[in-house]
Amino acid sequence: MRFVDEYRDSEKARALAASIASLCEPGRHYKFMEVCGGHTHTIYKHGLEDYLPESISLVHGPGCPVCVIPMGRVDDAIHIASQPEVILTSFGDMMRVPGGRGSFFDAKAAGADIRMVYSPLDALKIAERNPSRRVVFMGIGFETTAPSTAMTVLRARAAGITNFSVFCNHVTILPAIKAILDSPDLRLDGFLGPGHVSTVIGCRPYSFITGDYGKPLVVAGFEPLDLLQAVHMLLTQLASGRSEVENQYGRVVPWEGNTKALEAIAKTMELRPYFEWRGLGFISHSALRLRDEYADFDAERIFDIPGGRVADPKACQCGEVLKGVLKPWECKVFGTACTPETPIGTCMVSSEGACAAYYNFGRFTRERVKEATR
Amino acid sequence: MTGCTGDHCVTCSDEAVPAVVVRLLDGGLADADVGGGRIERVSVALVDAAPGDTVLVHAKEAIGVVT
Repeated sequence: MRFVDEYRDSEKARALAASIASLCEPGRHYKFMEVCGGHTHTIYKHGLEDYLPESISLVHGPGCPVCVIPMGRVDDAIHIASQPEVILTSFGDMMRVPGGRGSFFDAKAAGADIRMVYSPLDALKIAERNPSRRVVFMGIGFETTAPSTAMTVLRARAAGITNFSVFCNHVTILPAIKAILDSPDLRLDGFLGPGHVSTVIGCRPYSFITGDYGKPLVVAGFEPLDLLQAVHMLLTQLASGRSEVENQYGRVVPWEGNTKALEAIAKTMELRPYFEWRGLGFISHSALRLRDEYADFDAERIFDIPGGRVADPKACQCGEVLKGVLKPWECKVFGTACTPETPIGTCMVSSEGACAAYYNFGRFTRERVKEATR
Repeated sequence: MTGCTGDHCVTCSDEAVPAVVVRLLDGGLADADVGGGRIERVSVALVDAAPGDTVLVHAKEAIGVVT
């Protein structure tokens, strides 16, 4: 398949791995964070860690949108779903995320009308077909998904649809990266920048990471060779004492981003003063809400939302995993009490979550290695 | 597109599954081949895409053109 097969060539991967090894300074250990959950997924699915020298650690970042939603927001959404005439629509990834009082699936089983959709456009279609119902779309995701929600709000306004609203939980990636850089728990040598967020925001906004914090960042694609090449580019920068924003994913990411998408977001949404992230706590100016001009599409203003804060279960260490302080298997409940079928924490729910990716693709490799070295 | 059980997360759309624009429609919409001849109706309002172009579709919104 075009844009896929050529980026999975094993000979090229081996050659790149050899070149990566030659760039590593003897005795130095490198820690690179892949910000995006999609990268985490690729790393485990294709066993990329096995290609890298032991002196390179890949640390999983907070870029899984489902994983960073705090439990209180899940409860708020279920509260909305329990109101008269409401149909709550959501991406499938959200359905199993546990809130304080169960997941969307649990609420659906208890009688709430919660439906899985592939896009906010599908949710809008449900609203058109059900004029007597109130259709709410659970908007989640980074700058990649926000344009889709923004465009749907604009389409709803243009079409005069009045029974559609958005429960907006869209977050922005830069404040989360800054929070991680400011955290004393973690020392990083560089970042693999999120590919598709950058399609929208471009490469320029990362300059504070390379300038103020002196950490190189390479925007990377999602195929195995993309990630290996991006690691190579990070090491090349470090070897030459540079700290710059570079774009490995030029076939998709324009340097300036997608200005039309940014305009659609800016027209319909504005930054919240603060927002709670699972594992990272409250981060200022890190999430979006609908502007006053679009208040009639804002579920938070249409419905009376409890807005309670729910603490994570004590056993769950998603917070440490999201900050890259713990590897998934270091969590006390990983693979025992917490599995993709019965997740306790969000990182085990989405395929982009570090725990689910590791559970699905990595754990057997690790067990084999353990046995071989016993 | 699959949900959390598949390769690719609809929320993130982070595996670059290429979709080829088959025909442009009114209202910024288009029919696109999302693989194996499967056609989905997507929005191309935010990109400059023509039939034959490969676009990166995210929650049925094309956010970039693959060059």
